[in-house]
Amino acid sequence: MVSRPTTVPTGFGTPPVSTPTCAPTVADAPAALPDDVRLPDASRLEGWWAVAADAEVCDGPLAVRLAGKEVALYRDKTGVVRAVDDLCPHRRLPLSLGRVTPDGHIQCGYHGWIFDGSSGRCTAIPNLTSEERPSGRIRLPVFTTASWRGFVVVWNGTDSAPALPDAAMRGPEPTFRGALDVRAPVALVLDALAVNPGAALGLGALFGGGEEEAAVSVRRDDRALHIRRVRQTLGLRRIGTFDPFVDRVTNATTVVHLGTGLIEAIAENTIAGLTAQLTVGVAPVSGHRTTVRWSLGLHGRSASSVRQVVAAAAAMRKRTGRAAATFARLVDEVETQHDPATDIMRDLRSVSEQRFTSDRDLFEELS
Amino acid sequence: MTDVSAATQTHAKPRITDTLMHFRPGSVALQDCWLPLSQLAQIGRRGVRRPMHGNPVHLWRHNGQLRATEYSPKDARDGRRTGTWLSAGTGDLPLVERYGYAWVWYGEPSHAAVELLPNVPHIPVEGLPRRMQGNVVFDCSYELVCENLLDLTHADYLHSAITGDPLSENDRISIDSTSETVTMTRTALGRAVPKAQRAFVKADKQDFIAVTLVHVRSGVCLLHGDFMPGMSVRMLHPCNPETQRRTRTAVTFNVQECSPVVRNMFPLLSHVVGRQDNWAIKPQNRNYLDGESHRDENSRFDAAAVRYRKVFNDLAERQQRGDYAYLPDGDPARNVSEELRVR
Repeated sequence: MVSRPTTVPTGFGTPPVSTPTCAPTVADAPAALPDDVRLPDASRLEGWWAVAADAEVCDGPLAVRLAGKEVALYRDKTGVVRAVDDLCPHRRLPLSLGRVTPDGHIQCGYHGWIFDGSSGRCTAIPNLTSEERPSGRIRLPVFTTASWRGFVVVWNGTDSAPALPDAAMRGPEPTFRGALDVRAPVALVLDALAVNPGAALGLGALFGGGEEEAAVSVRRDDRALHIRRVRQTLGLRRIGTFDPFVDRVTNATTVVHLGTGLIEAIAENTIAGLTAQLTVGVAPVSGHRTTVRWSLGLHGRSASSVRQVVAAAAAMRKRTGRAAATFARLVDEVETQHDPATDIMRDLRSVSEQRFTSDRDLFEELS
Repeated sequence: MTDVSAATQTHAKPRITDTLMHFRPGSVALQDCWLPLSQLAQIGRRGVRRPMHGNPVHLWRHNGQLRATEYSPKDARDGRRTGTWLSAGTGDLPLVERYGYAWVWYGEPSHAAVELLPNVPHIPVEGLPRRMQGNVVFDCSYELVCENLLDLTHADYLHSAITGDPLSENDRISIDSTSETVTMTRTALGRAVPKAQRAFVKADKQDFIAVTLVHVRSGVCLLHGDFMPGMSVRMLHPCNPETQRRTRTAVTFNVQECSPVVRNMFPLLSHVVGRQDNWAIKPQNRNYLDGESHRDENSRFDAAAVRYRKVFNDLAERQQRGDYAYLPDGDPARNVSEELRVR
């Protein structure tokens, strides 16, 4: 049920008027974020990050760079993805150059030291006799990992890892994936995805990529922002003051999971009557570079043929460099633009930063 | 001891660095030693350019006489002769020809003495033919190449086709050191004959004794790998520090106890083995130069590398105090035939 807009004062000396219908709807939000939710900003890149797609971690170790730190990913014998510091504590060779042993541990390619990716313990040093054991002092830093809707997510914070958010979407696993590297800080990339995920990823035909046709609705709960937008389907440039050539609009809901690099979007009854589900995982490579991975699920009668068209278009955009360029342009626009969703995210970042600073001050005072 | 980064940027005598808190390869340059910069066979009329600790050195012949200069032959013709503290401003560096190499002095020129040249018992004084020499360039500082040679357990993984796998009935490592050298002897008994040797060795198992003697100041390494039954590989393996990220190893192979074909073909292996080593030490170098200072973990097989770091740090601290002299136990010219087990 839609409630009547509340009456709010517009300024000193002017009579109160009803809220105009074009104003965004921002539902009442909880007063503060839960203690374990901290939003990453430019100076602190801690969080749950999607560092790879599940399918990318196969037989051998995989090297990724997360927030300026080298991380090696591999799959142990139970199929669980492990993330460890990509630096052998023995002679500093990247462990990603090594191999995974048959018992599911990671082995350095230089001297063959073997490490357990769950505890970081050194389990074997070649040439030791059967009576000898590696020192228990030898430890490899490890990261907490999880699998989330087809992504490998890694927690890189100093505190213990908070629970991963529940996925907002249900349904079959997505079947089509893409990835791109954006030369922008992770906070701005998240803002751009919250504002216009369709245009950012070249999926405007499915999620709407053009101008907004109606007020934005934003609802915030403990751990997520739910943003509902109605956009023109195609982001075509208008000629002067004429109407756009294509009048079609798309309704899409975007869910931004706070304190993580995970975003979901769903558009029902989109092109060819399909339902499109988008899952996006971002990871900061460094302070000014971010990797964006996405997966798309299409449901409906013509899903297969639309998927092929989308796949071909995405491959072409990536090959020609347009994908990253378009995303970077959108990031530039979002940085100076006011949007109810990004305004909330910026406020939350500011609150989160203040809490982090006061926690740090308290810790320093106590110690 | 000098700060390498300062040495590469200016032509003034480099400043002395602060106390070494951690072993950081590529960060210091030990002075007063002979470096075998190039094999003589490489140096023609046009000469070669070989940096030492970032300082360019030109090796060239003038009227049949070998010269090592800080200026190029063209600069000499044009009358533009320049020099730094390494040549006391003259541009001409102290030079000795021995074992088929041009040895150039890195340090105070007045301290240069032929008596300080390392003794190499398994290479003739006049050197060996060019076909028994190799030139491998590694993308790392010279300390890492020395450590790589001292730490032979890596060979079981990187070079198993040539040296064999890590499984043996008995594997012992002994270390000996002076104030200038570190000697590692590895005795592995009852190892399976490696793939590359099966064509020549008619046995299932062999014993293997490997000796590596490293002159810490200069990075000159003497190697002897004795496979029984099998060949005896004797090498002069200089690790010439060109820059923080590049080391040139101008190697001479003197392979014995094998057919003439193997003896002459063996040097071709240097680039196969070199490429395998560079695969590991190139990223390793980056992590040492750019990474945080933290202690490396060690096992008992790393005793030689740990000793090397200690001798290196002791030398660096002595040079920091202004003491560049060789101690009585560290005479580089002493006979090392027994240590190398060269018969």
